[in-house]
Amino acid sequence: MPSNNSTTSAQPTAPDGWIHTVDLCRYYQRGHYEVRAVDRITLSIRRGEFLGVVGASGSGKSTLLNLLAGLDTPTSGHVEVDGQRLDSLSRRALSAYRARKVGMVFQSFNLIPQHTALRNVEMALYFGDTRPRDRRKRAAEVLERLGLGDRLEHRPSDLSGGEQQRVAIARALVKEPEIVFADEPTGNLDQENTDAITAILRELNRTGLTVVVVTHDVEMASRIAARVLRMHYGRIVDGHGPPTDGTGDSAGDARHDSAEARTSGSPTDGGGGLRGDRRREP
Amino acid sequence: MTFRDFLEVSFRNLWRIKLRAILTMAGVVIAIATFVAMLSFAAGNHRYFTTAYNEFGLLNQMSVFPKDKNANDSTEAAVLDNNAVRKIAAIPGVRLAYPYSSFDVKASVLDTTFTTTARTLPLDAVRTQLFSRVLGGASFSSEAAREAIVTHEFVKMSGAPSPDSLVGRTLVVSMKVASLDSAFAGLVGNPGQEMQQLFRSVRLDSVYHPVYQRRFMQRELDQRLRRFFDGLMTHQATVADTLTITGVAPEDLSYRMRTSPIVIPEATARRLAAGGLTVSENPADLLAAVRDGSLFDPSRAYDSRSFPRATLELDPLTNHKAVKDSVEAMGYRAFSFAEEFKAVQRFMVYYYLGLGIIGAIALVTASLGIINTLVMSITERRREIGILKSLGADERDIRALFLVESGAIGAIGSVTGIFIGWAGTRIVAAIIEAVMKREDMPVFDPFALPPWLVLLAFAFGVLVSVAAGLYPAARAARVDPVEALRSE
Repeated sequence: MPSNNSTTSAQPTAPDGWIHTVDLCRYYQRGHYEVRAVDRITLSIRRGEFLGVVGASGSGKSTLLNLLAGLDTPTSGHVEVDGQRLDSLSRRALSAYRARKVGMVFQSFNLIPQHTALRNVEMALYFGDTRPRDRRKRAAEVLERLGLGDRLEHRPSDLSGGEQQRVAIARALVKEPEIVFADEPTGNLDQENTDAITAILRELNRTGLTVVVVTHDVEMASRIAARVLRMHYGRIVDGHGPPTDGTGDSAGDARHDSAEARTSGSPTDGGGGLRGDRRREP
Repeated sequence: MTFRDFLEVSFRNLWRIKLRAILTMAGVVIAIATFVAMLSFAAGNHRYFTTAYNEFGLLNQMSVFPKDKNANDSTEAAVLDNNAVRKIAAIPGVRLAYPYSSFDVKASVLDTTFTTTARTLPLDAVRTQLFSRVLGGASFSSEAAREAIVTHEFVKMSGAPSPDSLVGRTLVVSMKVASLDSAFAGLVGNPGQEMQQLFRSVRLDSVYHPVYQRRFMQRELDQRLRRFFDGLMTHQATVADTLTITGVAPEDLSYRMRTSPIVIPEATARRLAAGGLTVSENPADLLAAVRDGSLFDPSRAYDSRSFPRATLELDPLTNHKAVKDSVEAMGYRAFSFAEEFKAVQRFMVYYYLGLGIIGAIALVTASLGIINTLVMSITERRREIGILKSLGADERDIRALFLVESGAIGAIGSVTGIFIGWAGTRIVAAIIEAVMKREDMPVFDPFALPPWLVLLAFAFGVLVSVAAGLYPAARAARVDPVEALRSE
């Protein structure tokens, strides 16, 4: 288990990380300003690890997640997954990576409102190798496992927030991914549902699944993740907890150029949005 | 994603926006219905021509006419008479040649007498594909048989209750013929009275004057000649022949192929002509007959008649151009139905194109509706596209999804449009039929819906719709998933 509340400095990159980023940058141009959503992040995530990324709104944690999931393209630097650089993949191969290896869970659930719970989950299998006749069965099985056996034909609007998020988790799990990226999975939920969802995520990790959770809730992240990284203005300012792959081995961590690191401000200091020090005149 | 998945997702989405989808499809339906109706009309006309040519065996026929007087043509115009027809028949590739010979007759049948025309046909001609079809396979037992075949037009004129009621009936055919007696009677007139008038008109004081003598003689000669021809033309005798009706054409084909109401063997016409002089009303023929003396010899006069046209039946593999050249070299004008058919086919291509373009314009207009609907759909489904991309859909999947959707609009619109277009043509055809029947006109269907037209309309509708979906599909494929998932 991670050692809670003991903030540590970022440690050097472990070369044996399963997911590995090198000087990962994602800059946006907003008018005359450049927004550095992710700024020179180098980190490693080991297979089977439960990683938490915390930070205030706008600190770049969702962008980091999108880059790791192959949904977004870095401005510079790269992401390596299992030795394969994502920027070297064709668009089709990148889609296949998302379809087969990655499961995503979003704060706003992102379920298709016109479809039933079953169909929302089944759609995740459209882009993989599952035979059409097996899709429905597998989707129903996963939903039942998450306690939604009696909600298969319900539309998202007929489900509670917690149920919707469980459908979203089922959708992420049905394709049996190697890693689940969860972006503020409990952000829209009450405490009871938050506890339920975090329990599910921990259980999944316990079965060997790599989980990366992005949240602004430091307490929750510290409670469930083996390692927590704090992001501030696009950079990882510190990480705590022993880097572990769940077996107790020393594993990946995060690193940034300490000379350039902006360590001021806490993850909850509300430093989101466009801030003077994140802008660069063209 | 399998094609079935694409279809399922597309149809679900169309169902979700059903009102907009139906309105978009309505544009395709109207366009395809117009397209089908227009080309159906062209196809109906095409079928009419093609059927007529094939049914009547016209593709192996050629018509020959006397050449018009034309200053630009160095070839001398020749007379189209029996002798000429015989020579034309000898051209290689010509299986049969027969002239168009018809004359006015008075027909009496079933206590009804009426004036009509009769046409002579040799037995071989009656058995050709053309007349077998027109006369319903009826024929003469021999060239000299006292038989006649009549058409539906004749049935109507005779007032017979049914075509079958005329078969086996006696038909008396009579015609006016002139004789030399009537001609001389006209020439002489009333001798006493004539002499009296003659002496009254003579001016005795000038009778020895040479100029007066010449003018007097000229005037008298003119008058006598005029009386001779008056007598020949007006004081004609009637000759009649009694025939048996051996066949009645089973259907009225007069709107497709006109022929005289009575068809008789050549020998019957010759027999009637032998009863007197058959005098042509054409002054040129009359003078020619006087010049060669045939005017006074009925049988010779019959043989030396000239005809307005002759029909040639060609062997199937004959080179029409070679025959046409030979006929024209003989001083006649030739008309090949096969060549006309080619011209009709060429015309039909332009006809189809013209009508098709009108339908295509309608479809292109409808495709703007598809573009509009799909572009709106992208805006509405931006988040859904983002979700699909996060689940592993690539640009091709998203593009295909929108193309299948536009194709589905096109396919449903096309099928409905084809049906409505067909139903529209049936309604119009029914109205035309009712009007034609009321006007006692022969009924025919001016529309046709051949399988190729159904396939063309469907393919055209789907292709144009898919083409209309290309731009929205490309736009949808370019949607940034990060932006889309962030959007509310």
